[in-house]
Amino acid sequence: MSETIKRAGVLLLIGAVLGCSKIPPPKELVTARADYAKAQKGLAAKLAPADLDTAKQALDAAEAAFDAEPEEQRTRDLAYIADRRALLAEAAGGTESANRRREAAERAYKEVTQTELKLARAKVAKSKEQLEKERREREKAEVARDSAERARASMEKDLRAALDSIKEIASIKEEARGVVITLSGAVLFASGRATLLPIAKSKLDQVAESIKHQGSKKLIVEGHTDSVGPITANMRLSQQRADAVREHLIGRGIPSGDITAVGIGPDRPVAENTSPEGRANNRRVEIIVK
Amino acid sequence: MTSITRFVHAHAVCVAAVLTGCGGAPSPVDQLATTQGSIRGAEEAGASGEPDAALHLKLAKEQLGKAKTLMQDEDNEEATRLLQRAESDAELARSLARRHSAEADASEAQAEVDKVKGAGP
Repeated sequence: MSETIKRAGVLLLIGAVLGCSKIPPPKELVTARADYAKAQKGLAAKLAPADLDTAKQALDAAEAAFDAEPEEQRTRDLAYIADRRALLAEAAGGTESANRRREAAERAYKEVTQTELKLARAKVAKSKEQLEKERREREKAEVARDSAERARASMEKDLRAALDSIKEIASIKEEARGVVITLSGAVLFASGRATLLPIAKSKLDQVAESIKHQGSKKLIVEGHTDSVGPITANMRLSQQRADAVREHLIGRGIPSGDITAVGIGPDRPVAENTSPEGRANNRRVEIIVK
Repeated sequence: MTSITRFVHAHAVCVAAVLTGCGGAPSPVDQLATTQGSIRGAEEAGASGEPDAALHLKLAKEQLGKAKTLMQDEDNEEATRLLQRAESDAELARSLARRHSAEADASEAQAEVDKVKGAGP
């Protein structure tokens, strides 16, 4: 037999003897098998397939070494390494799982905060809108108030101006029955007559204007006399004078329905009829503005 | 002794050599560098902060230490084995450390979500 064939025969014999014996696997290999099985069942299969594959290859190398040389240190070393690789694959699967959970949480966080931001912004916009609306309404009300105020002030001014202008010939008093404009009889009429003097007409025009500005006001024109002479004559004269004033005011635009004329005669004196001044004061026309 | 037995005895060393590849192995300087790199990687990943990772980091360092001594004694085959084991422990330590960090980050992110959801309108 040649040396080569003899050598091959010896090797085969040793291999057969060693390979066929029922030698239990080293604890490193047992552990490696268990850890690989665990890794394979877990997250690594889906989430860390490359690392799991590396672990499988390491385990296969250990198994091959165990088949060839079950009691050698090399088998135990390969099994040790295979075990570590299996544990690594499992850890890698866990890492990837945690990464995905983190990413999902980050997305959810973004979504929630964006939603909340949107809601908050909408709320702010709505309150702004509401405030703006209220402001505009307040402004409108203020403007309305201002213009009403201005109108009233202007009317007051007009009336005062008008009344001021007739102050020389009239006195104005506010009484319970209304604003009473008292015009002296001597200024309005010639003695004993019921025809308005020219200057009286222009003064009454001013009175008419200022009264018209007030809006529709009810007017009573009262004619008064002193106590000199017969009552019937005084009654008639005072009525005529009141009518004359009334007609003139109607001519200047006061609606006829708003103004009445009445002759009072001597019955409501404002002064003593015993003196000339007193009698002059009693001879008057009163326009009561209600 | 039979001729076969004598043959086996004569060639035992060679057979052993074929099977185990011992003696005359080169100094594993490359493997040393690789293993040291893996250990650094594990430390940088925070392996000392997690019990399982710390354990494997410790194993890696111990085996590295032993391997260095063996290299001084030129027992390169044994040194290589230990360095390879150490490398696998260090890589595992790094992976465990990374999982630990990733889980902490995931918990923190979830806590943030729960906070904003809880404080919502």
